[in-house]
Amino acid sequence: MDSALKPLMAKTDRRYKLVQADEQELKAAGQTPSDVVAVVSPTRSILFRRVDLRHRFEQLRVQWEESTAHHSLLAQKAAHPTYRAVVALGEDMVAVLLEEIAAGRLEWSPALSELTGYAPERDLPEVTYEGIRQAWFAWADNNPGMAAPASVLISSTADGTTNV
Amino acid sequence: MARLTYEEQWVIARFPGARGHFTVASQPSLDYNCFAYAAHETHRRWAPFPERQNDYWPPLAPRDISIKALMMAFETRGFRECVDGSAEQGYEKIALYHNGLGATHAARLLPSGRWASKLGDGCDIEHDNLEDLAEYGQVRAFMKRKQP
Repeated sequence: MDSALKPLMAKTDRRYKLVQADEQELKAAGQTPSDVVAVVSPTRSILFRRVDLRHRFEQLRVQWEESTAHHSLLAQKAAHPTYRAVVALGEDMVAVLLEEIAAGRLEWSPALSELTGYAPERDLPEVTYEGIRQAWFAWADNNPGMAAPASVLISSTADGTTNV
Repeated sequence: MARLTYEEQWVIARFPGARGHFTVASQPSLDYNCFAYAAHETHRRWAPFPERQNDYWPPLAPRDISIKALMMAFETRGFRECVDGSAEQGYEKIALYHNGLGATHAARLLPSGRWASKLGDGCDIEHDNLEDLAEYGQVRAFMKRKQP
């Protein structure tokens, strides 16, 4: 169960109620109210949620770039709370981060590695910028389920609903 | 009192201890970083993990951010470990910073006795003391090489 949505589910026992979480609850889950809209069923199962991942990512990316601009090493920059917040958004971020890799921004490769368990640099005979990019493209081809955009997620439900 | 430039404000916001102890020596640049700058290279960044197309890491050095790996990187340019950062006739010296995670920064001793630092993607500065950049952590090693 998505821990970010647990507080939402506790807020309603009316059928298919659209809920917006309060700020404090979502902050605790590392998200903001604008990120999450969820529909929950009477059985308190999530029917869907929509997370504007690209918007949230851009907010965090701008903060991260500003906050870490004085660092020279990616490993130091990747320890910053805003980078960690991107990783904390979870597997839904994989498609967004692959778009960043495609755009030439390899600073998101370590985040992708954390989310997927795949580290392209380990398999490459020579670690190069282009080699890492191509390795991620190959990985995406081989893992279409994780690499697909996921701005709308459908979760399995206890009351049999599987789609919205 | 003179009004601070944007670059000066940028530096002080990140390194409050540097206030009054530094001068800005260049415009911000993405072309090189502190490690490259310490080795007198301003046409590429030194990075063990390539973020940008032109990033470079000395082939004989391990691709990690340990001080040992960084020292091996500078050894490819003729630097050897030395005891301190005091000026020494005929030698060029660098200081390597470290925090709990790993290496963070390199500064180069200038003939004037000040230190030259490139601040990530920001500007180059000249600063009076290594402690001016305390946000990078502590100096863990000094290296020197004969001046060409």
